[in-house]
Amino acid sequence: MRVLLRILGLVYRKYPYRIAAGYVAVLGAAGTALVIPRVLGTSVNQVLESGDGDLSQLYTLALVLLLAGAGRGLFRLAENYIAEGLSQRLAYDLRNAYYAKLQHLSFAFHDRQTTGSLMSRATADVEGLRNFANMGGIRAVFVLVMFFGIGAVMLYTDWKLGLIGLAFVPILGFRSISTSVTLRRIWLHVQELTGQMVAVLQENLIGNRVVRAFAAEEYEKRKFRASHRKVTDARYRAERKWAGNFATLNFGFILATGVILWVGGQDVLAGRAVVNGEVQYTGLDPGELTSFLFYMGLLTMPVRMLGWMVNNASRAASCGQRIFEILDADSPVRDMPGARNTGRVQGRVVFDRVSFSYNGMIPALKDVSVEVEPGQMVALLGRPGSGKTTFAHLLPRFYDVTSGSLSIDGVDVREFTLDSLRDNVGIVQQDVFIHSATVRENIAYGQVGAPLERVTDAARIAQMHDFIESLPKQFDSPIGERGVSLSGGQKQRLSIARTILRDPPILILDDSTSSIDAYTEHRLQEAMEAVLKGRTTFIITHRLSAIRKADMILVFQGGQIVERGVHDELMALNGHYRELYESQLRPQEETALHEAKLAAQRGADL
Amino acid sequence: MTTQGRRTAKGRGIQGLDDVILGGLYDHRVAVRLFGYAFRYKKHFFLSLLGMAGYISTMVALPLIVGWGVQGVVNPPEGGEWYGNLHLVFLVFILNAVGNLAFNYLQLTSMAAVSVEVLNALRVDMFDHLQRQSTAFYDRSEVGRIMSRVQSDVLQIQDWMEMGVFTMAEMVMLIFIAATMLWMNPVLGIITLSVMPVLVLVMYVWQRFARPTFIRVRTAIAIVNGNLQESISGVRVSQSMNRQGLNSQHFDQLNNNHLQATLRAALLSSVMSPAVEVLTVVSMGLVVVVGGGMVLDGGLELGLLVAFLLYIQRFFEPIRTLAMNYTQFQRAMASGSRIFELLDLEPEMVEREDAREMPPVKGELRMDHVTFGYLPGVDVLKDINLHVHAGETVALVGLTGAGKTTMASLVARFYDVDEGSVTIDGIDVREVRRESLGRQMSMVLQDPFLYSTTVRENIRYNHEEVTDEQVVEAAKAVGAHDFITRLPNGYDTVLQQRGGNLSMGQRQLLSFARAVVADPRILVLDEATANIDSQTEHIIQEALEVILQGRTSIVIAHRLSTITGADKIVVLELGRIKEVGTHQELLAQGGLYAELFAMNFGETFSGNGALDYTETVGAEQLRGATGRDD
Repeated sequence: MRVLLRILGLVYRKYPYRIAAGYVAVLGAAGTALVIPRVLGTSVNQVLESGDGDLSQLYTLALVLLLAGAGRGLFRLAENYIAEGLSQRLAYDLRNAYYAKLQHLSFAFHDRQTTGSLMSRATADVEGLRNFANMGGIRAVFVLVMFFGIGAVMLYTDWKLGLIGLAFVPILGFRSISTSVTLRRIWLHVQELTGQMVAVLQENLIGNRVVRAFAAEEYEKRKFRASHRKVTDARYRAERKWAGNFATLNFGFILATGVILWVGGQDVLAGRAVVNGEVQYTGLDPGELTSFLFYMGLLTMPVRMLGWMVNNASRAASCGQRIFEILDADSPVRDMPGARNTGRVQGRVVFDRVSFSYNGMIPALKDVSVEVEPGQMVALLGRPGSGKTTFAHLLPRFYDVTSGSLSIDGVDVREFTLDSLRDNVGIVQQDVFIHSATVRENIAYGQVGAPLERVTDAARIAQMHDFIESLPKQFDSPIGERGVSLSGGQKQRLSIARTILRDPPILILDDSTSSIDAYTEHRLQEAMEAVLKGRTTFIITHRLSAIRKADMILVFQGGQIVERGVHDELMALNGHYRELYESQLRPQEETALHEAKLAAQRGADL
Repeated sequence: MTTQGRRTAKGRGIQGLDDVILGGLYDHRVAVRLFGYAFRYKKHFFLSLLGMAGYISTMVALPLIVGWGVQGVVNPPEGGEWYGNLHLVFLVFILNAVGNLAFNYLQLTSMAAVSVEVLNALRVDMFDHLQRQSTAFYDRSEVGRIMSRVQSDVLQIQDWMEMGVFTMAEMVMLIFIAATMLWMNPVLGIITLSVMPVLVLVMYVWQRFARPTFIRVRTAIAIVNGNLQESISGVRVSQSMNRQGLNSQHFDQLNNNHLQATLRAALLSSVMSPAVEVLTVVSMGLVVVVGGGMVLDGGLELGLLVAFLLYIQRFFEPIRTLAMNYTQFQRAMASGSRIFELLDLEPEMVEREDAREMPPVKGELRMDHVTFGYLPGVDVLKDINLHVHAGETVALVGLTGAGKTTMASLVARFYDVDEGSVTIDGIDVREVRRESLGRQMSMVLQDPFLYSTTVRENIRYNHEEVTDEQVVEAAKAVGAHDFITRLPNGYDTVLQQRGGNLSMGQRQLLSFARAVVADPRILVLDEATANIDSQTEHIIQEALEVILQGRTSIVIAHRLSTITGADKIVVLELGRIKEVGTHQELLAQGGLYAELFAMNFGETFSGNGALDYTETVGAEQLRGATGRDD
């Protein structure tokens, strides 16, 4: 309920005038609708009474009818348009708020969420809220006004017949609501089964090589058939339930009309008297009876809508919960009160007894202390999961330290504004994300409006330039989903270009060359040398050539720095570094050299 | 010539109709095929027609009965026996109402039965068809796009069928109502119906405006959602580059664009209301005036006048429904075309008409002058000749991009060779039914694919006849039993999507167990290089010995033990076989292999492994190919 009120609150607060206009339209539509049966009834009486063939009264009535109809039409147009427009504006507001929130929630939040579930909130759940705002916000009032209006008119005309007519409303209304509730339950079940069926389908498609390799096509077909049969049967049950309800409601209304005709007809006949050759009615007259028949027709829609509205509200409640959960989420990583702009930093980085845990239980970094002077190059080394990437992610505050402190130029990073901090720390991440845009827009992603020369320079350093020139529209060629698809190595080089362009005083390269072939990597390293000069650089890599150049090598194990120093020192220690060197670095280095030789040859071949 | 032929053969995926939002209102070919599907369920189909006929009759009869009652009440015969007649009217009325209930229910449920069955049949047919597609098809087609065809496009069709039949029923009813009115009183009937042409004209003009607007709404929302999805996936980059503000601005633009489109659409769908409303009262007014005059002249019964008014009340409702569902129909037609595009896609590796059952395989494998490429004109394997005796283990060795994975894929018949042949026990693999050969082969992939079901079902996969004991045995044989029993529910532990709750090494072991259960005569195995801890590494080494034993095995080798133990080592370079022999022979030969081996043939021999082959080499080759075209 709170959720529903909150949704309505969003609409009411932001669009009070539109809401008011909507209600005016609703009242107008209901009022004019109520007139029509009355006019038809009067016409019937008129025809009965004027035995002398005078049609002028009928013309007047026809004109009233026309005006009422036109009025009702226009009011309904306004009602529809306002309700629909309001709901669309709500959806627009929600999407914008949701988008902005997602942009600012920290890595820790995004680590826990899948894109799919975030997307379904933005699509299906927003749609659920929108429908509710549409139905619940304005049309609910229409339903109420119609009930009370029709009820009042009928009771006023003839209280006995009115009560009979209205007696059907709670019965049918209750049925309509209860079926809606049951149907919603069944449909949720259908959705669950559909989800299972979709999982079978998706795994079959993604794992198509396994299916082919095991010649498991028949097995998969059986699996899918069984899974889909359940969906089909459940759907059928739902549809049958719906059909039963639909037909019964229809029947109820027809029955109500019949009863009105039967009872009302007897009333009319009972009060009928012929006085002086003129027929007179002391009780109900035929015109009133006719208008009752038409009023019953008018009641149909609001009763049906009752069921929809209940359904809508319960759907909106769960949709709203899911959306507000995100909108209300608090990002632990945010600007502290009084945070200040860093300006351009020198690049002195100090980790002081830093510990960090992703889940609050298992520590990913334990008591790590390092001091890095401006312009130094630090290589981070260790097996997967040893804490290198975590270490690197703390610097731009993708996460905040659990304990200890991390400072740049002597100031704790939490005292800077996030924006200014991140302007100073450039990171090339493991997973490269390419946007569906042109090459140029992708490279200038963090530096919008950078002149083409600088973009070209960055591309040249990242060894992307030749490739880009070979594309049909060079820097304006679209890449990503709807454009040229890049290889893993090309993506990484683009990511490097993107970061270089931002010219950050502190640079983090997280395994950023793993998919680049040795030959290109060699050239990349040469070109990067000038770029890295004067920047504090952290590099996570398995390439020995890069490690050798480092001013400091940090060897991670189990979230701790177990060895530190330069290559020769660490070799002399005969410990972790040496072991890594023997088992990984050296063989890779030599293979890489050989590969480079072959690649050069191949280049000559082509 | 061959290159040309290959180009078309290898260029096909599904893409063609993805951007078509609305089709025509009625596409004959699509409708006929869908009708064919509906006709498979003859019983329900005819029952629904019967129900529809009954429903329409009772609905048309209703106003007449009411009119009859009103007439009686207004103008009772002398003597007051109309009380009795009124009871009769009520009785007929109730009978008609019950009939209406029964027929309506019959119509709706039978139609639902047909439509859910059609939905089922369409999906099953699509799924079956997808199983016939080659690996190359999956290389090219995005899974998401295929999914949306099987899921949402089919749903559109179901909606269309239900709503289509509903609308059709209303239309037929309309015709009957019109006929009844004309029959009862031709003059009044014609006067009432005279507003129809106006309404048709209004609708025609309306839909010309509506169509582009609805298309715009659909396109706009697709752009909004596309941007949102991309922003969520790329949020880490955005944050590290401080793009949030700019991104939000951009999103607001797209979002606003969609809002404007929907507002226009809202206006358009709202204007139909007053149009229908006004025409309804115009009809009613005409009936009141003209009909009223007739009643006064004695040319018409008052009851009939009321019946006419009741008819008009129902008359315009179906027309409004049709206008509202108009775009729904067009969308369904576009969906239908997409569905049939997929169903009509010829599988690339069609089984020969005369393909025969593969006899029990002994395991002799021969590749004879095999040439193959993923893209036309770019051969990844060139003139490969290889003879493997039954039961031998062959290690494929070479640098990234040398063609190891491709060679293994050809043995598993993921692709057909471009030139030359692959034979097993002297039989060309293209001459036998894929399924009969596949049953006797297995492939262990480097990144093992696991299903989100229990561990037991993952190991048993495909071989439903295998008992629980055999599953445990297989797990023990490869050394997976220990870690499985430590899982929360042991063998009944349900794995997360793609085995997310297991380590890489554990996933590898499960896929080994799966291969043992399948007990193939020929095994193709791509050894994992990725991050495996040393203990699991050790278990895997031992497991390998178990699963390679007693069958012909082709191994893309990254481990020294596998290589030295192999009966034959094939050294590939740039798509050609450079050297073949045993470890000792090749070392003695002092060629490429000796050179590679001397460089410490460790666990990380080929760097990133073979899986990123298509990514790196595919793209490089592509560039090579375009370069070659000029």
